[in-house]
Amino acid sequence: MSGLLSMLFGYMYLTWLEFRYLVSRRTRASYIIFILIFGMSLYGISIQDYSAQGMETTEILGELEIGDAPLIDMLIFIFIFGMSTFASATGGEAPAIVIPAQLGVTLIIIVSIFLGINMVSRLGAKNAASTISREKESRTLYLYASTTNTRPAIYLAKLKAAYLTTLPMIAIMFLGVYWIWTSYFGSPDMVTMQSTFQSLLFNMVIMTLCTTILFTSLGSLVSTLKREEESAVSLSRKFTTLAAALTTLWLLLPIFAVTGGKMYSLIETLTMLSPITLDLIVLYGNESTLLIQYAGIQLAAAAVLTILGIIVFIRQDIEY
Amino acid sequence: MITADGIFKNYGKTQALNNASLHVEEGTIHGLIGPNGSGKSTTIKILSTLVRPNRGEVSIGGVPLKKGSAIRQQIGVVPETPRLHEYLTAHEEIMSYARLSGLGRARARDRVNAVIKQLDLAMVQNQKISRFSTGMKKRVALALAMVANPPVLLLDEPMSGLDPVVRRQFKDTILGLEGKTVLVSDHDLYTVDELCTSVTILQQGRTLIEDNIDSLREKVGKVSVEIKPQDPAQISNLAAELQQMSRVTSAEVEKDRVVASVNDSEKDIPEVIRMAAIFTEIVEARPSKISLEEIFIKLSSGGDRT
Repeated sequence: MSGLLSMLFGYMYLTWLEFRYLVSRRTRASYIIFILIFGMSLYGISIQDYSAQGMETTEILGELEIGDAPLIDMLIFIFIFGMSTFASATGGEAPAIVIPAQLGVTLIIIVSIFLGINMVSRLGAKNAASTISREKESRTLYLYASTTNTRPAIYLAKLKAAYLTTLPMIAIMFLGVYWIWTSYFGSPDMVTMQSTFQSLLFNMVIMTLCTTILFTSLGSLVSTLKREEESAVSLSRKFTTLAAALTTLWLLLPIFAVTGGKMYSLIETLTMLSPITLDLIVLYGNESTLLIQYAGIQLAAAAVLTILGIIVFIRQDIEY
Repeated sequence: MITADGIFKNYGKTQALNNASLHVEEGTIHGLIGPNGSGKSTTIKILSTLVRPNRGEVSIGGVPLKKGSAIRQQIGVVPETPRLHEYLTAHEEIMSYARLSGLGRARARDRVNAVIKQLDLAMVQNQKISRFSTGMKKRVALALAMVANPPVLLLDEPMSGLDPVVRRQFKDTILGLEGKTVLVSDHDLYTVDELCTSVTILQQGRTLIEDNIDSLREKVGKVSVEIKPQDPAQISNLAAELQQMSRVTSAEVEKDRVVASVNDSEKDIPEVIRMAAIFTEIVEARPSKISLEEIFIKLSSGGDRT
């Protein structure tokens, strides 16, 4: 019993120690950049005027409708922007643009939330990648491995600490999106959008938490495989960049529809490899079944990566 | 207390341990000696559960190596070159280690204060470790090993890189560890000779011999007596005369004296001195132990020598 208690105390203290290190050494710059970029993206969206009305586009854009795909929504937005600002701009007046609220939601998803999830994942992966590789590089891992803590406990404590560093960032995302909604979409005439917004917020938090767990688990695995901190962090960054690139490809997917069936489905499958694509699909589709399915996939993948990382770590010799 | 039998360990194609064994009795200070690359550090790392053996049975205090956490409750480790968190102070590092070892806040504080006092670290406890010399870092490492008060200490070359004053302090600290079982790996044989009562000699990953140091002396040719005759011209004759004694295993001339190795220090030395005094007038007679280095060289002859 006392052995178990001492292991539990050791585990909790190790989590605290690692969290303190990551917060003081590796996290500050990421938060400043996040607040700047995420804030700018929200500000960009907030300066539009929104209406509860939809917009007739069939005359010029044919059958394109809002909500078909993010890229189509963007095309409609550009069309609306051009149409509504042309006259005032040519008349020498400041252009005023009013766009449907549904398009505003799309903008929040594919600009602000996409950026936010990418940056939170990047922070989780980066911090996790530095945990064990840093100790290996400085040959201080024995300081943990020679205590009563087991290797899985050391691994999980460091992973947990890396994950905890991302939670305030997720909270900032939540507050930012909540703020923009209440400030710009919260008027009484948009009451029909309330449920859309509520589920968007809920889905965003759940999917961001799951994606961050997945990338943090990936970062921890990378950390056990590498001997140097910088190479581990660099590899974890490559994974998050690849995920962001695949999701960008997913946003552009309608373009590839013209390439034909096989090529299109190959590209579509590739884009689905990115957890961030799954997030945007859930947010864009706004369906609870998709949320459960894709969150489940991400958590299962995170569990597999964590178990794999623990096995690798247990089998490794620790030098001092 | 420590039992290791048939230990094999490979690092890739390099065989670090090849059927090594080690047995350390409870409450003793045991030396682990051998040339560079003989497997001393690997043995310590295996006992510390930092490195997994490919084969072999290891237990500490009856607990098998597989029960890693239970083993680590019983040990404290001092690495050859202790790497510490340079951004912490000595006090923070020792306190962190105590807490990581599962000690509660109050108990950890008491133990940290006790080891800081015992190892004379009070003056520097609030300085960053990055400013410490090798000797100071070793002291902090020893404090880490001792802070949870484990019954077994594993010291990997504890004296390397220390100046004579710190060596003396370290030696006194180790000798003052009452009731602890201490395994000291070192290739400075004088250090081991000073500290240990028993020893295991490793060579090329194998255990060459493990025994009590006094017993090894007896086996090797062990105790000798130096006799200085008043007349230097008598040195060769005295050596020849002593060589004929059945109790003398060898009698060699060294500068102005004869060094006679005997079989039993208590019984034979007075008899050898008496015989020498009968043969010629002597001005000095002094018993001397054969050094561990000589024992090591004799036992490992043909191998790589430290």
